[in-house]
Amino acid sequence: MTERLQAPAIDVRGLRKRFGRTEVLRSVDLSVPLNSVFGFLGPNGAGKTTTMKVLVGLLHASGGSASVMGHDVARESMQARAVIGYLPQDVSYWRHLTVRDVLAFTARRYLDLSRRELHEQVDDTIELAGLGHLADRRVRKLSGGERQRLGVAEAWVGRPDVLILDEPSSGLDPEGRHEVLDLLDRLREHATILYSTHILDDVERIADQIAIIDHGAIVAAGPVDSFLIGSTAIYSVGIDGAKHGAVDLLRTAPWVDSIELGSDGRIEITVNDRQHAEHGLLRAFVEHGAHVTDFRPTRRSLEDTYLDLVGANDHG
Amino acid sequence: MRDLALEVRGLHKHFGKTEVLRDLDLDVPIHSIYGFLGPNGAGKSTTMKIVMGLLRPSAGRAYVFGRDVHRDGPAARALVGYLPQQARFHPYRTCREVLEFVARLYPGRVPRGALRDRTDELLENVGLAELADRRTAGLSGGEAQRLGLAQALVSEPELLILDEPAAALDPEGRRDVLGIIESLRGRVTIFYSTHILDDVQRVSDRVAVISGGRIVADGPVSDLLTGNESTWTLHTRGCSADTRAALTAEPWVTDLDVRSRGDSEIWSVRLVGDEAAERLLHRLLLDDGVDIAEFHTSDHTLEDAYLSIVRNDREH
Repeated sequence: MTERLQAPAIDVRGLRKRFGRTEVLRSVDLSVPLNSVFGFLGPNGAGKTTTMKVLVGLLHASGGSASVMGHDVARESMQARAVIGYLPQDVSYWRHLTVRDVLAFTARRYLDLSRRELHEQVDDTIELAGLGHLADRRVRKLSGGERQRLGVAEAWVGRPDVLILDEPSSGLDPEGRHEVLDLLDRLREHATILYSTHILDDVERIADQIAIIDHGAIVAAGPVDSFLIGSTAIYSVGIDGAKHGAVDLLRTAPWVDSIELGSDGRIEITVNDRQHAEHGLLRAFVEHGAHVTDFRPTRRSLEDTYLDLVGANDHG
Repeated sequence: MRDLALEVRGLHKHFGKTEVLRDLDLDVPIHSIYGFLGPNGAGKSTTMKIVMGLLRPSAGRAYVFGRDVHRDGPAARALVGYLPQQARFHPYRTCREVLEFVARLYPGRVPRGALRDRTDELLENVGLAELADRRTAGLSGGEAQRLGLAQALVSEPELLILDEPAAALDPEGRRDVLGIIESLRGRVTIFYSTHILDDVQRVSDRVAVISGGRIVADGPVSDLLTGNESTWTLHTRGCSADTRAALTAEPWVTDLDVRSRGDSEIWSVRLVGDEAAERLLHRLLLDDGVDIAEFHTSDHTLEDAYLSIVRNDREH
């Protein structure tokens, strides 16, 4: 499993936020590992945007603490904000500016660079965001997906350690969404990314870790895989030819709970330890000369797991 | 008319010099759940508005159960329930009043004496029974969307036309809307547009993809999902860079794309020849430090199919 040798990029403890009598955050704990892509999920009104706003210093917490790259967002607000790039949920631009103008404007506010360095950094950002051919296009002429990529680029132009993106892919058509996700994928080696979304299939594709917030508290958090496959996993194996040697061997393994042979040549193996299964299952078949046509754990969809967790909380 | 709920032939529409629809044909079989897909601006809403008589086509015809939507407009529309993309309701009307108002637009479809029962039943079905007498101004986004569905259903239509019924909803809201659509299967024909292709894959029987004002692909969902047999997906851990480089150099490996997820990697490998997959497995498992959690030919999703259709069309 992932080792926690490094301090998390974002560390939130017991965060609370009230607006008048309405308690929006009741107690939020978040630990976003360094260099992860972290999906922040939850129903509308659960507290995702509020949490993000506290992190970027747009709201003061009513209680608890939050730090980004070790800087407390309340006591060391300036240092914390210096390491964050932020894309708010509904961002709007001055319509007549070009893509390059927007990024140069933002870069000048955040970076103390010579003119030439600034231009280089803006150009690099435009390139990374896949907006090279649109650098001199006015914002009002951009498609939804292009505009969202400009938003992510703007958050990235100051080269922050942490990107906080509030629904970067909402309201886009599939191509637009795909382009935004590809961009996040390109950014993953440069920064830690915390982003909120409602498209759970996208999260399955791109995120390393997720947290689900409901009614102002985190109801589940962990690596994406832990939501898709339980610790007791069922692996389904398709085999051509000899398989009995391997099956006999696996029956003796302590991490195998049961083996079922299907009439269609498939084998279903229930294990109680995924680490061992990932190391030993395929090996057992291959070493016994079986021809494996496919091998995969039965997964739940993230959507099923999410709806169980969020639904359960409603009636709790 | 050959069991079609909706038939569109050679539809053209231009606004001034802008050509929005160019020779569009559609066949929506009775009782199908038909997904209408395409980029923003491709012409989905325009098509729907023409069918509803809200726009006049520049050329071409559309028929609802054989009735021409222009020459025989009232008779055609009597059979259709419609949810526009951004449904707005009178803020001071209650949910029940909205439904009663819409029902009166369909004289003869709902007998006066049955109206109360009909609205009660609908509000129950869309989960708004407790909010029946709430003013629409106080509804959340998800609730308003469900009221929109209910008003589209109040006339007991035989064809439902829904313009992005699930857009901007959170996962629970989307599940509710899909659940309602699913519950009508076999009784009502549903023609709906959406950007959430994973949802389409779950509930639709057939889809059409529109791009640049024309249909560029249509058919049963399963037809679009024929996978690519030569690309394999591997979830693996512990493979050294040397091993990977050696594999990439093999003549039977034509392409190797690696994405990292936490401490594992997801490989997408294109292989040549019958034995290649087996060879790949053997080579990887030689190293005792390598674990493999998944190994199979790549799943082809509707999203993959859609993206390649739309991108192909752009290039021509």
